[in-house]
Parts: sequence; structure tokens; C-alpha cells
Amino acid sequence: MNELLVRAVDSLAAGAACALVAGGIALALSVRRPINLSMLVAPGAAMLIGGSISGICTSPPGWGIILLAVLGSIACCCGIWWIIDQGVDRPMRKAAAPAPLLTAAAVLLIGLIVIERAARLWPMDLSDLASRRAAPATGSLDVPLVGPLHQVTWLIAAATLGGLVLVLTRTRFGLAMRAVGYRPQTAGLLGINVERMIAVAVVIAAALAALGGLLYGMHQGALNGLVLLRPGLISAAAVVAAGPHRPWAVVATALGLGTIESYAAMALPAGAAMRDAILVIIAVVAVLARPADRCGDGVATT
Amino acid sequence: MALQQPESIPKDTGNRPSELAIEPAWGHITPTHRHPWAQFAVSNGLLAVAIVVLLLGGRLIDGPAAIAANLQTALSLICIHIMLAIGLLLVVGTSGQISLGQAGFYGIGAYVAAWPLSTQAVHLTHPGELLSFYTAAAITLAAAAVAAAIIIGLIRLSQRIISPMPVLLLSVLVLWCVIDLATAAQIGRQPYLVWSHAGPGLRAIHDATFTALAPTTPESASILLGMLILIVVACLAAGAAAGVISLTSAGRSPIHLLLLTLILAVGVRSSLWSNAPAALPPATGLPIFTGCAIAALLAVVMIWRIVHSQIGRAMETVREDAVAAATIGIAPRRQQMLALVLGAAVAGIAGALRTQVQRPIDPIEFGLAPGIVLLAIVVIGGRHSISGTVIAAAALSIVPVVWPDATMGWYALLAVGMIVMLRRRPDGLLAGSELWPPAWNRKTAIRESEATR
Repeated sequence: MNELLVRAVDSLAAGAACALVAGGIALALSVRRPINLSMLVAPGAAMLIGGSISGICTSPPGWGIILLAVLGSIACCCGIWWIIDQGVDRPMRKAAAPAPLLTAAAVLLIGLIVIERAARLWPMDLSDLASRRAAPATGSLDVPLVGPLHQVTWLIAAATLGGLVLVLTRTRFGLAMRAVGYRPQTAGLLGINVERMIAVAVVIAAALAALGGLLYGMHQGALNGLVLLRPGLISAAAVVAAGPHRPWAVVATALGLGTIESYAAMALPAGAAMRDAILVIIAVVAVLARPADRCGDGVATT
Repeated sequence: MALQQPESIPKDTGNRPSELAIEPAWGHITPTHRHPWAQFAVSNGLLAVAIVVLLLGGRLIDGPAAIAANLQTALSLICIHIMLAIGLLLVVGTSGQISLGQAGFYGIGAYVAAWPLSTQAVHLTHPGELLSFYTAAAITLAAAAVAAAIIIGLIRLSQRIISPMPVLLLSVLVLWCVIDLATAAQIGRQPYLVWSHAGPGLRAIHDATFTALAPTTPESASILLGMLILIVVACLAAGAAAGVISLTSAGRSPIHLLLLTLILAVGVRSSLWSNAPAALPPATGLPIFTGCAIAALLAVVMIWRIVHSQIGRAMETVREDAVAAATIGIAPRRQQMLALVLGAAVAGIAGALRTQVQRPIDPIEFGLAPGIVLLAIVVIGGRHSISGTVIAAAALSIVPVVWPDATMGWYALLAVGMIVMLRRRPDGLLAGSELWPPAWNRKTAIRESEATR
């Protein structure tokens, strides 16, 4: 039973990290249409940058180094995705229908290649950063079930997403951002700088994705191509299952999917090898049952 | 006095709008009236000649005096890439959907075809065993699908009790399944619920069916028959996967399909046989280049005919305006599903051929990156140009086939090329035109219009 609880706690922390990533992607999706696909690799990029920063410093890292790695990776990701938005996505915003999505796919491919190459050239392990997690499933009673890293993950996820809700619903800035999401042309007529709002949303989304990705990576340890992509994939599955126009449903679904996927990977006999198959099955079953349509607007957009 | 209706206005025949006879814009081409068999011979004569030429020319590469094994492999892989790109052209160009999963469907076809050869030691020269294996697999899958459909149907029906009940039930179901399986694995027996017995139960159904069917089938037959069975099964499997994907994304935003195919591509890449290359028996001596070349030719002709047929025009109408298409009697979802399934079926056939070209099959060929690269090939060649796509597929596939080590760098270059092309020349290299004269496409349309009348 102790092992079951340890796995459940670990899975819930991984799920919270995925919820952060999904929050970022849902924000980018609600403001910036069509979806910025390259955002799916932002968590992986953050893991690599955070691992590089912590690798330069002394080991084992203290909380200061962890903070530096987190802030450094967030800043780098914000910069990279701002450049992508301004340099690649912005000129395609008014192009004919499939061109922006195709451009987004091309940028995703470049991102995939870059992080896969980087992971191969500089193999990294975030277990140093994750050393403050509770001990693995040894059954020992003197190890606390909930370690500092779990607490930090839950706290950061709750505080960040709660802060985002407050900003989006209680401030003029949030109102302007939502207006751009609903009707960009009308928002522009009202005096809102649409392009600036989109750029700010992309930067905030990249920051959330980076933060979530780094926290997820700390729970995984060694990084490879699939670990780097997984938080983005879970978020994509959450968007598919919950519907792209319900950001908070996406966040909740990502929390559930991340927790279940992580638990299944740890607990099932062939779970580690079948992680992405589990994700595909969960996503397809979730969409077949169409739970999103039962919870409110099931508006189909064509 | 009754007003006389002018002759230029066609009478209302009471037909549905989609069935109205619309005068073609190419009136200068006179429709010919031949016997149906003569018409068939004229329509397919060139194709038959091309197949004969390929059969004769392919002997130079496949025959006893083969030029080189590497060249044979490279040319076969290029033909396979042409098939993949032309299948994707139907989805992206004609139907207007964006799929990142073409390489995933290719992987499904390849692994479904390789499955009995690798795990069951069934040989291509024993098509009876192959048929028994796939029949057993189909029965097992049908049993699993019926069980899943009952469960999902009950969950969907539960919304009549309370609106959010399906969400709760689905969450409980998934958690129940995971915890039960995990506990069963931990304890080493199957103590609890039905989920723990699902895997062994399905395997038992498969083994029992396989054993029951095997003695009734012939022991050995032509190797080509075995290959044909592999191709048909791979085609059906990839098409079925595409059908499920299309059903789940029907009537939703294009992002659904995009993300679902993305997840599928990554799932196929990472989970098939735990990332291990499929170990296949040695090459069978099939004329594989000839087979690949003929399959590529048939795929190109099939897609060309579909694009210029009533179905193709319906797909284009849906692409341009789904609501307008629906008002004239075209079912948008059906057309989109048809395009995705046909494109995936072509990819499945390519996958079945891939099992005989080069060994082993490495899952890295089927991931997300190759899927986006296929998309780049279609964009660079031209989303509305079959000949442009074929040329781009043949030209751009050479680098990864000849220099596998440079694959990733080449992929990055293709992605940059795709971005540049979308900005500077969105219709592709040939600007949406074809290498053959436009009258050929028009003749196809006229023949079809005659057949409809």
C-alpha cells in the first residue's frame, strides 16, 4: 500500500506539472489562432536549458541553483518563442487557411530536431535537481511520503494557474487579452494593440510551458527525446479530449491524463515501454466518449 | 396566352442539386461514344503499357543480373516515398485537412505486415497460415471492439441520468483498469476484476482461432499470394486506424485532427515493439523494385482519377466551403473521412512493401518527424499538383535514402524550405499545374460524366 501511495503522490506531481504546460498551451490556443504547434517542444527545451545551467554549477545543487535554473530556462524559452512568433508566425497570420498551420508544423519539426540533437549530444539528467524529491519506492517508513519537490510542484502549479485566472478575469489587461481571443478585429477597433497582446500571450504561454516542463523533468530524471516531448503530448491529448475552446477544462484534463499516464507507466509491467501507447489509448477513448460534449458547449467549428 | 419558356433555360428535372447536369466549360472537346469495353481499353491502355514497360525494365534491377542491391533498395524506397506523398496529397491538397500521421499509418501498415513474419515464424510461401493468422487477429479484435463499444455506449448513455456522468464514469473506469492491472502484476496473479483477464483472454481467443483455422488452409502456394495478403491486410489496418481517427475528429475543428494524428505518430513511433527493430526473416527473392514501382504507378493513377472524379470535386468543394457543400447535398464529414482513409490505405500498402525492401524495420522511420517531412514534400511539390508532388517526393527522398546519417539535417532543411515556399510560392514548385496537358484531366471528367448519364 505504501508503494501504491508513493506512486500516486509522484504521479499527481507529474500531473500538476503537465497541467501547467497545458495551461500555457491553452492560453496560446485561445489567443493565438491557429495553435502555435512549436509550443509543444517548449517544455523539452526548458528541461535541456535547466539541465545545462544546473550542470555548470556545483553538485548537488541548492535551492538557489534550482531557482537559477528555473528562471534561466524560463527566460530563454520566452525569448526563443517571442522570436518564433515575431519572425515566423506573425507574417503568416493573414495568410490563406492551411498555410499558418503548415508553417507551424514546419517550426515544430525544426524544434523536434533541435531538442533531439541536443539531447543526444549532451545527455542530461535532472536527478540532481530532483534530489529533493522523496526517496523512491523502498517501503522504508523513515522517508516522508511527500517530499519537498512534490510540495513545490503543487504549490507552484496552484499559485501560477490561480494567478493566471486572477489576471485574466480581474484585470483590464486580462480583459483585453480575452477580447483579442474572442474577436481580434473588434478588439483592434476598440483600441487594443492586437499584435502586442498576441506576443504577450505567447511569452506567458512559453513561460508556463517552460516552468511545467522543468518540474516534469525533475520528476523523470534522465532526459531523452520522448521524455522531452511527453508533457507537450499530454497537453495535446488534453486539448483534443477537452476541446480547444475550454482552457480550464484543458488544464483539468491534463492534470488527470498526466497523473494516470505517469501512474500507469510506473505500475504496469510494460508501462515504461508503452507510455505513449497508453497516452494514445487514453486520448482516443476520451474523444470517443466525448466527455467534453457533456460538460457544456460542444461547439463544432469547421 | 401562355408564355413560352426560352430554350436556353434548362427545365427543372426535380433532381437533387448535386445531380443536376452541368454543362462542362470545355465544350470544344466532343464526347466520344464507344462500346464500354473499347472505352475501358482506351482509358487504361496507357496504364497497361506503362505496367508492361515497368515489368520488363524492372528485370534489369531485380533480375539475376541485378545492378546492385543498394541501388535496388534505394529505388524501391523512393517509389515508397512517392506512394506516401501522393496519399498525403489527397488529404492535404484535395481535401484540405492537415494530417501529421501519414508516417504513423505507414508504420501501422509495416508492422501489421511484419507481425506474423517476425513473431509467429510464418513464411511468405505459406499464405494459408498468413490468412489464418490475420483471420484470428480480426476475430480477436472484433471481440475486443464489441466489448469496448458496449462499455463506451453505456458511458455515453449515462448522460441521461446526470449530464457530467460520462466524465466521472470514464475517469473511474480508467483508474480502475490501471490500478487493477498494476495490482495484479505486483502480486503475480489475477485476483480481482475482469480487466486483469483481458490480455490473456484475448490471446487465448487468438490462439484457439489460429489453431482451428490452420489445418483447413493450404500449406504452400505462390509467394506473390502471400505478399498480396500482406498488402491487403496492411491497407485495411491503416485505413481502419485512419477511420477511427477521422470518426473521433469529425465535425470538430481542424486542430483536433492535427493533434490526434500528431499523438498517433508519436505513439506508433515509440510504442511498437518497445522501440526495437522488427527482426524479419531473410529476403524472399521477390522482384521488389518492380512491385514497388508498379504499386507507385497505380497509386498515382488512382489518386489522379479520384482527384478528377466526382468524388474529388466533392472533396474540393468541402475544402473550399463545408457549409456550401452541405447545402448542395455533399456530406462534408464523409468526404473528409474518405480522403483520410484512402490516403492512409495507400500508406499502409507502402508499409507492407517496406517490409520486403530493407531489414530490419526501424520504428524511427515512422515517427512525427517523417510525417512532417512528407507534409513538406507535398507543400514544396505543390498541394494541387500531382506531378509536382511525385517529382518532389522522388527528388527529396534521395538524400535520406542514400545518406541515412544526414537525415536529420536534411529534415531541418526541408522544414526551412517549406516555410520559405509557403511565403514565396504557396502553390509549390509547379505553381499548381501539371506536367501533362490539361485536356487529359478534362477527358477524364467527360468520361465520368458520360458514365453518370
